[in-house]
Amino acid sequence: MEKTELGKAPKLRKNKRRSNESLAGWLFALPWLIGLAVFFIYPLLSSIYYSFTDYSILQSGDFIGLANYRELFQDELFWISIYNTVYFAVLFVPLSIIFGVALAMVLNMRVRGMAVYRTIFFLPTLVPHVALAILWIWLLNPQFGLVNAMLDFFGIQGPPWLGSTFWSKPALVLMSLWGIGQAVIIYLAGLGDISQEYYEAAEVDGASFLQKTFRITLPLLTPVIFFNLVMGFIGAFQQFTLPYAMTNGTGSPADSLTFYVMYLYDNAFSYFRMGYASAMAWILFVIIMLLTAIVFWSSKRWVHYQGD
Amino acid sequence: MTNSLKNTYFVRPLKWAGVLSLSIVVVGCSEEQANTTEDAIEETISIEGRTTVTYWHNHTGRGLEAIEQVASDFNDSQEDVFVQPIYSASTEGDDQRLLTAIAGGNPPDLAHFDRFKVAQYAAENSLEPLTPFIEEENYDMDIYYDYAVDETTYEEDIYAMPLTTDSRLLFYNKDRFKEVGLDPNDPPQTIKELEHAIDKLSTIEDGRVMELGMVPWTAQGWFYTWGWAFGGDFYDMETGELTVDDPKNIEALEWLVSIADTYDAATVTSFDTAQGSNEMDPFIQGIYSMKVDGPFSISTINQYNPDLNYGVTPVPTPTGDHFTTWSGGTSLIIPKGAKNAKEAWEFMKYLGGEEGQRTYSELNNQMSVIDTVNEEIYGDNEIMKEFIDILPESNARPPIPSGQLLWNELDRAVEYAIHGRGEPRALLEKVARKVAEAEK
Repeated sequence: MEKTELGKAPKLRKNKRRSNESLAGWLFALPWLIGLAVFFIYPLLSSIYYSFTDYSILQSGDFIGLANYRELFQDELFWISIYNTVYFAVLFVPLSIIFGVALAMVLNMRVRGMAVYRTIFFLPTLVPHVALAILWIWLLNPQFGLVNAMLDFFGIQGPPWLGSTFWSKPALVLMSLWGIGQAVIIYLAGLGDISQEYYEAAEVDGASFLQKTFRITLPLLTPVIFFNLVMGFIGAFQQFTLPYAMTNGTGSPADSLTFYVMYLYDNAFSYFRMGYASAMAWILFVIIMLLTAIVFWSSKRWVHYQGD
Repeated sequence: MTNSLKNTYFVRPLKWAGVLSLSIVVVGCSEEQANTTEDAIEETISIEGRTTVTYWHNHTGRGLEAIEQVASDFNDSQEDVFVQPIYSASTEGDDQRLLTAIAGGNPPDLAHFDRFKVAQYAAENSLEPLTPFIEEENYDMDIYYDYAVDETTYEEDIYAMPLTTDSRLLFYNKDRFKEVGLDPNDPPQTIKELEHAIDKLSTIEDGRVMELGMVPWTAQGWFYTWGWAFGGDFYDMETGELTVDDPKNIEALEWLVSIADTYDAATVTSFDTAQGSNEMDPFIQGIYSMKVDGPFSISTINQYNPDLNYGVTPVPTPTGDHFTTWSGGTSLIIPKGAKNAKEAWEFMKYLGGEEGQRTYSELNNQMSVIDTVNEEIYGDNEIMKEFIDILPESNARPPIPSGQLLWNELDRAVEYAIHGRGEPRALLEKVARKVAEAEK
């Protein structure tokens, strides 16, 4: 009897304190919550509504039902921008994973001055995208650019990169790979997480370097690869700043660099077709959501967690 | 011993700490100062007995000096109105701050504005028409070049006060002309002569392009440039009809394609992808011997290659006469919802008039929309004179609400054509259809 009473009393007190604390917590979070509601949730919901209107920013639009969506599916540039975006994502995301993991494994070796090397590979991610775009325009210039000068050294005549509709997207992939330092940091953390015991056990069994890489390192790195895959696809589908800055927003040559979000931006701010742009934004949302769902669904088959 | 120890291990770090904290304080102060001046500029200045006109512009450097000079000249002459220039960043394509300010119902009284966008904003009912002021005071719009007024007119109302202008000419490298045996004092006048010059001025070794006569679609070689040069037109002011697929325009595009086919569009265009960076301009580098460009590129040449021996001449035409060009430029607008439209108009008249134009154009190195002002400032400058001499023959881009769409679509048509993704006629017809559809 006594025990339970003793046990009850502090519990009650604790509950009261907890509700006071949670009230204070909510109060502290309130400014942020109001901000979230006013500047994020409200615009988000209104953009659904606007996607059914011919809203132009300067004048409130009329409700036109599904007309924006119907027009989009007949809009040639809409399909071109989807093609370009998918092309870029399909080329860039796998390459960024292969190079990212390889680079992380190299940077994970115990060598003197490793901190310096790691810094060097992380530095490019600190460069603003617009500056990066200008830098690469120079590097890729076929007349006096560094890239073709290097190819020339090996006796290869470099392609006209940004002048050609065929090479412009690979050029953009090349540029984007420059910024994989961010992903490499995450891979490095993942590598650091793999228990040394596995390697020691494998060494006792006489496993080669390749065997260790493909049987231990890569499988145990899959949760991190999974994360970077999802983030990579989301980022690739929202590609904007680099091609926009490089082509002055034109997507030249001949729309080969017109990406989905660039066309969305044009509709919103150049043509004042906010309703049409809202419809595009929601279609993009659905595409990214579906893609993420597919990656999540497939992850059961290939992502291994330590201790599973 | 103890003293020296103190000095090394104790005092020295202290000294450094002192220097460091001092520099932090100094940096902190200057930052604070910068912030307060910025705030002060944004805050409306009010002077007793005078109405403050807020004026948004995007000028920096010399342009800013010009704006401030004109505003202070005007303010000195006034007892009722005070104009306050406020810097508001904007780019050629987007004026998002102004856009949201108008949409939010809190615009400035006056804004500097690309004339090209007047019709689009007017169609959205976002600009105050100037016609009532003009009619009431019998203000003479005839002092301006016709095309400049055309560009400010939408559905018979005038919506902007024209301020500056430009024009496009063929730049040619005289030294290169001499080198290949062309007469540097007789630049090409016909399209045939231009083709001949391009051929002579191009050096291609083992399939590699070393030098090019010209890549017609780079720099200011927009489709408007060539369409008008070939005698085409894009818009009928009388009927308000678009004539994008004019046979002469098709001819112009076919000519661009023929150049692209001869010199390989991808290769020659890629030299120019560094357009944004001034010192990489292939004309300044001497890789292209000719280009179409505007007066704004002169200062770049002077900065990066002042010894370049070049001349300017009208853009060649098929017949070698009827030379023409086109012009853009800036203007002043009163946004819808401005609180002091009447007072804003007072300043417009000043900056738009001869006195204001003279001060502004001279300080900012701009061509005026008044011919007498241009004659006075640039009459004895050999190169600038060419740019002003062609102005009476200049054109404005069609003042239609879909002007930006038309611009983008024409640019697109050229790129598709030169990269072999469509026939000139079909491409231009598609542009015409698409823009007509949007105009509905």
